[in-house]
Amino acid sequence: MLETLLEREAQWLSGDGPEADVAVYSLCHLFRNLADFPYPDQCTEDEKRMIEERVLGVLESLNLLASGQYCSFLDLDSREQRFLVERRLVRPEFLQAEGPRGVYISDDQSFTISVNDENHLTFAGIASGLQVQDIWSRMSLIDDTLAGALDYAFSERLGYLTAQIGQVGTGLRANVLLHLPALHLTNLIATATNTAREKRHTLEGMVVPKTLGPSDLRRPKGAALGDLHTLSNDCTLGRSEEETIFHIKHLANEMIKEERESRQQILSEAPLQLEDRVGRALGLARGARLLAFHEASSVLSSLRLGVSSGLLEQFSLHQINDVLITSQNAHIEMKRGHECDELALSAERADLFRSRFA
Amino acid sequence: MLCQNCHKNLASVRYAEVVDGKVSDLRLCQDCLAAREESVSPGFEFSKPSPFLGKKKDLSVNEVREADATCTACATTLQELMDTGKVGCSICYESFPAELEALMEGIHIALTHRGKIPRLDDARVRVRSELQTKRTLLKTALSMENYEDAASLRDEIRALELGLGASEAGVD
Repeated sequence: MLETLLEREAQWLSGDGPEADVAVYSLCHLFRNLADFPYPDQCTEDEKRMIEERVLGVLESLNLLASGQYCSFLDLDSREQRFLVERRLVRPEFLQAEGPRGVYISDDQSFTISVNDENHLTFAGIASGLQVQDIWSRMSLIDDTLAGALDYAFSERLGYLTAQIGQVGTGLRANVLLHLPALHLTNLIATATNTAREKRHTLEGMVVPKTLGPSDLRRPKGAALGDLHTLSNDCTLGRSEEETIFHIKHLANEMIKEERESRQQILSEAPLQLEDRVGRALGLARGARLLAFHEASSVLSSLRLGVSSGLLEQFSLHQINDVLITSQNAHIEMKRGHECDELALSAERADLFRSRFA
Repeated sequence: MLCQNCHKNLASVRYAEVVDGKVSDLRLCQDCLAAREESVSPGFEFSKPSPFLGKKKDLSVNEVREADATCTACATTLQELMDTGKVGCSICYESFPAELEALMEGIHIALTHRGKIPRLDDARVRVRSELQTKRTLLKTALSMENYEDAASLRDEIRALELGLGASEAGVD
């Protein structure tokens, strides 16, 4: 069932969205619950099955299943489940959920609806670059359509009711993945993190999901994996969806501007060191025989910086994004057709880098 | 008000925790907050400093409940809720209104929902709520000197107002 996903590339990998030199992707989650069931953690298997059936019935009647597919998690093995997490099609927490559950995935892999994650319904929309507004507009339309057929848990005072009290209100969590190597090099990352906090947002280094294996966790404490940081809104109650989108977009733009200025500063003050960093990364990509994921992501960070600074014209952001996704463990295992040990994964990853950056 | 722990500094944050099975709600200064945060076990993270001061309702003594109080519908206990930040069902929000409010005050901007309403049949109500949002956004954009967004918001507001006027004229 997932073979078609493996062959077909996700739309956001193209790297052609606005501000894609810094903003890798935008990802919005919208949490909704049905009024007449407890939240999934408190549901029995039968209740979860009833919820899944009800939602599937509605998706079918709205003809949504024609432009996508529904994967029941009970039909997938661990490797396939991790693959969906690595593609950003479901949240990592979905792996820990239990019982009947699944995910509807649109054909272009830009929109999903998870059923029986922490909430009954989790909508997710993803797009290249800084596109939170477009994602929200599209997601809101589908939400409206479903709201006509499902009775949502809603209170006039608190808005949409959710399993976590931190999501209640709009139920909207917007994320932008930012590549911030220059803010790291100029030691401005702490300032950016504080600015985000003051404005009721969180900027945090991308962490290695547990699914990636223990050896990949061996990296300097506090260092962001591949200089990638997620910016997300903290508050869902007291601000409307449009305001939420407006504020995160504004803040992301500020950070993008600062990152670009820092890159420019490095280019003019230390061009040789920058070229050295990019050149070394290319050397590793072309020569390494074993690459753990944390090392691979640091190589990709330098190459991404090289591409967006115009130092590596032979490569594209599309290629970098594609390698970032396909060099993850479950992607390698899906391609090989079976689970692999650490050594085999590192070897396969190095092979992938050698062939893609020849 | 003064910090309820040291009684010396001005209180700047509201701090809720479960002590001996009871939910306590304190106003603390930054120093006492730091000292408390060091001493509490990890996993308790709902009392981050809130910049919104002086507007909060005090939890009166008789509203403070035993931590083993349970939700009438799903039997989630108050203790579980305080530990995880997760409720078991929609009724939990009605079962523990005061306690949840104290927790949510530290997390959110305000305690009243602004935004979408499901199955809103009256198109005019929807337009009015959209207008309210856009006017707030316009104010924010102007205060940020973001004139590009402000200009397009002003156009959108004008269009919505025209539409609203026309539909109301039609109704009358």
